[in-house]
Amino acid sequence: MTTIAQPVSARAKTITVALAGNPNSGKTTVFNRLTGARQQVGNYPGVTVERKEGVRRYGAWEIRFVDLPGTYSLTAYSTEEVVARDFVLTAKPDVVVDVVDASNLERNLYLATQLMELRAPLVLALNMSDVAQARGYEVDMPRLSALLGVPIVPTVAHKGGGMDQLLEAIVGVASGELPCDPAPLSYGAEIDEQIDALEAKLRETEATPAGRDPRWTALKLIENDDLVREKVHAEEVLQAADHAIKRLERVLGDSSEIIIADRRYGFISGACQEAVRSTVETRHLLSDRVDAVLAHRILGLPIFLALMYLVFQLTFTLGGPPMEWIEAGFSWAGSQIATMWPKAADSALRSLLVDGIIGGVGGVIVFLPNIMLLFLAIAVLEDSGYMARAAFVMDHIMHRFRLHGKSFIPMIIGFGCSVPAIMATRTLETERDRLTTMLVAPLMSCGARLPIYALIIPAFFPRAWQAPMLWLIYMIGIVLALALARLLRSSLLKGESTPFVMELPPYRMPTAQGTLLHMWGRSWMYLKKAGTIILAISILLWVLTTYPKKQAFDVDYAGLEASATEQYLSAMRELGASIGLSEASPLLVRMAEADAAFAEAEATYFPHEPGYAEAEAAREAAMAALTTEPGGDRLAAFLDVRDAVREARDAFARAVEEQGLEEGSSGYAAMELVLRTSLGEIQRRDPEVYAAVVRYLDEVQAAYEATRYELAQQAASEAIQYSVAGRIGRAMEPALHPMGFDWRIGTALVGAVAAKEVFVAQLGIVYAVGEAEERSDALRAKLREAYTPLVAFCIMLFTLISAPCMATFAITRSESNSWGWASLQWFGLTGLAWVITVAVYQVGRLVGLGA
Amino acid sequence: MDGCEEAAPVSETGALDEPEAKERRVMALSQVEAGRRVRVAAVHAGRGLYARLAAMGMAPGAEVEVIHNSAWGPFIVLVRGSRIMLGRGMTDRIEVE
Repeated sequence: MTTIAQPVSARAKTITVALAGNPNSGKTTVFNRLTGARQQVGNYPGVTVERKEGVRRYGAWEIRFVDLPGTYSLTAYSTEEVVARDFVLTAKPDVVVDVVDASNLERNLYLATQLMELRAPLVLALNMSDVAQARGYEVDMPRLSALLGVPIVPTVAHKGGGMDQLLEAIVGVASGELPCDPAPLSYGAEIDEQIDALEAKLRETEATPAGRDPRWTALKLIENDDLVREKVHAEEVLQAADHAIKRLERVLGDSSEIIIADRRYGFISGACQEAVRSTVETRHLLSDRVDAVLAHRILGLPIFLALMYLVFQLTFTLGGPPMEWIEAGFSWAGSQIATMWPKAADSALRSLLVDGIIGGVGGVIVFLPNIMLLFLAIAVLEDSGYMARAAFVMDHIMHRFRLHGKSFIPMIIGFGCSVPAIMATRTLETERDRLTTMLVAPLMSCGARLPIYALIIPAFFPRAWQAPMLWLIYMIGIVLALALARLLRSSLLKGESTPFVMELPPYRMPTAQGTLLHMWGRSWMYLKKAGTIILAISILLWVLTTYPKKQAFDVDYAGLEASATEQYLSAMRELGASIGLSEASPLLVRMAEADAAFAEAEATYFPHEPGYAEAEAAREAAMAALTTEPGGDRLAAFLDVRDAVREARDAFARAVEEQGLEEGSSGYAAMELVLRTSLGEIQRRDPEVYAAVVRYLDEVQAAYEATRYELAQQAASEAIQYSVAGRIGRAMEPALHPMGFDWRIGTALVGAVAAKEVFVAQLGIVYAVGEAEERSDALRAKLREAYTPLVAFCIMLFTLISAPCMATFAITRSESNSWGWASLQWFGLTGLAWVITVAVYQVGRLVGLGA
Repeated sequence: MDGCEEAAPVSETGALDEPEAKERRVMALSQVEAGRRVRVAAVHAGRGLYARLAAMGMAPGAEVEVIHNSAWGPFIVLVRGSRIMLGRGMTDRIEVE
């Protein structure tokens, strides 16, 4: 690493450097070496091509490095190549560094010749020069540099070698101290002549597109480059170009494009013959034998699947505990913030902070462990060189669905979560493959949909059917994803289904710096980009489910509660009589009243508020006073027995929980025996009071609390019906009806947009059984009453296919760099879900499954 | 697996202009056994694919050594110093001599 002697002056001169190079040339390693951790990952405007930028101070210079996509050439045929070319042409970097694999010089110089044609201020980094030397290549650098007309620096990026010299050369070229004058290429007399003529014509008509070099433009016109043709708005130039192309084809017997490619290689091999001495015989490496197995269509498959299983396990199993910590942290933060307002205060700000923002941000950050681990695994697979082999193994299967072999990885990840799956599409090389995979990835049934199936399947299907049902749902997702991919590739994303051609990178040990930077870059981008959108959507969803607020409820819940209290008190009077308390001193009733007053205070105040302590003290005082009244001894006995019974029961519950005992096990039976013995002892002391206490605990009080809980849930249910989400649910009824759904499911579906698993909680609220998770048996019972198994299946089908959650929407938006694709995915999948679910429901009803 | 008749090794990387005197039989790349060296005669592909192959070094005139060629295994060739994996369909569309 460098130590910079002189301090960076306040007016450091900034230069921009573009880093070009073939895939596998070590370009990214050079970039990491040069910029360290000061990197930003993003996209090039308008396309899904990744753009990395980093800054490096060197002496008095501030150098901004832009990592161009790795390409083999600069044609107009792939997005990556166009992006790289346009950057050099329009951003006009001060220096272009072409990272060249020295052990594979000829092929790598092909890109260099095209950068020379662009007249870019070029510096060649002859990377992996150690490997080249070990393999027996000897490059005469000064000679090669003179032949090409550009400075050449030998580097060994993975060991950090040559970086200072490279920086020195960059600064030299930028400041004009180091000469850089790329040699003009000759394509043979016939072609050169045509280029000259066309260049003259371009100059004469002033038709050269702004900022372009006329000679380069002429060359590209003769290469029949569509993108350059579009930019030349002079008919006569285009005609002249067509004419030249035809003429050349006649004279040379092949298309001008092919001849020009050939001449570039001719130039390169000429230069190499002069400047490179090679003692190399092609050697059969050990890696060739390894490839025979790893890239074998049959032998390679189990290896690949095993590795994928590992990646999946790493991502979701190892990621599980940190996810739980994050969730716990956020719920703690939520409760901390909630107590900043008096409990009774109906604060919209508190609700927004706790339910909207903390919930929303938590929902974003909770995926972070997954994403970090996934990209760690992907970085290792990619950097080691294995990914190319895996792609080949999967290609002949994926190819049938017009997908690339590499698409398999995001799809597998999709079973865990669509968000990292969509981010994993970055490993795909062409934009078409990337978009197709991205769009269908949400059909792979993610982990958040599992709670929905887990709620519904046991409620509606006999045990023997449960596993096949779950399997069926997952299979439907896979089949639809593949079918849809094929459809997309032959419609919206139509294009030559590229036959498999891929460079096999040599196996390498991934570097810690490379993998960690890769992982960190992706995670940071996720937080920044998805975070903002998800936050906005969570606030919107919070508004939808909270407003408008219901002021006057249809049902008089307060009245109902009062009558429930009355019933409770009269039951207590009876109980009091049973233990010998007279009508004149109904101590149990007064105890219940004190309890009720305290419960009221508990609902109004947090424990740290003064009102809470006051209420607690008031109850204590009331109870103390009660025991001194006539019959107070009976009350004291009642309280003693009550506390003893509670304690015995709690001890039992704790033991069962702590030891994880299951009902029916011998340990459970033993604990039960202990409980029965201690209860029997209490009973023997005062059978009359004991009977009253058991009735109090199991019937009177329990019934009162259940009623109050149910009333609160009914009020919540009414409130959500009144909210926008509830109204949307109602408004959707005409669309829901053909699927067999009612407005309740519609409302829950609105919630599912936040996150699929919210469907369950939301359904719990509309069915007034409260937060569904703990009480899902209650919800299952209600669902069984309301729906048929056919509708239940349709619910699963619809939630599987329809509207991806907002995190998915946000990540698709940022990865595809377009609201259009994200909206297409959202509405397209929802539309598809509707059509399929309607078809299944209607056909199901016709064949009599709806009963 | 090794080719029974090994073509004469070419010692210089840039030795593209020497004509192969041994045989001038044209066949599909897919027919070439592992271990043999051939020269690309023609590539039958659309413009985009042609450009991609050329950029990867698989242009007419290029020396190619077949490293693997078996029914269920990969098809791997060595061209201009790098190993390239080709799909079956692709290898039928490359003519070599």
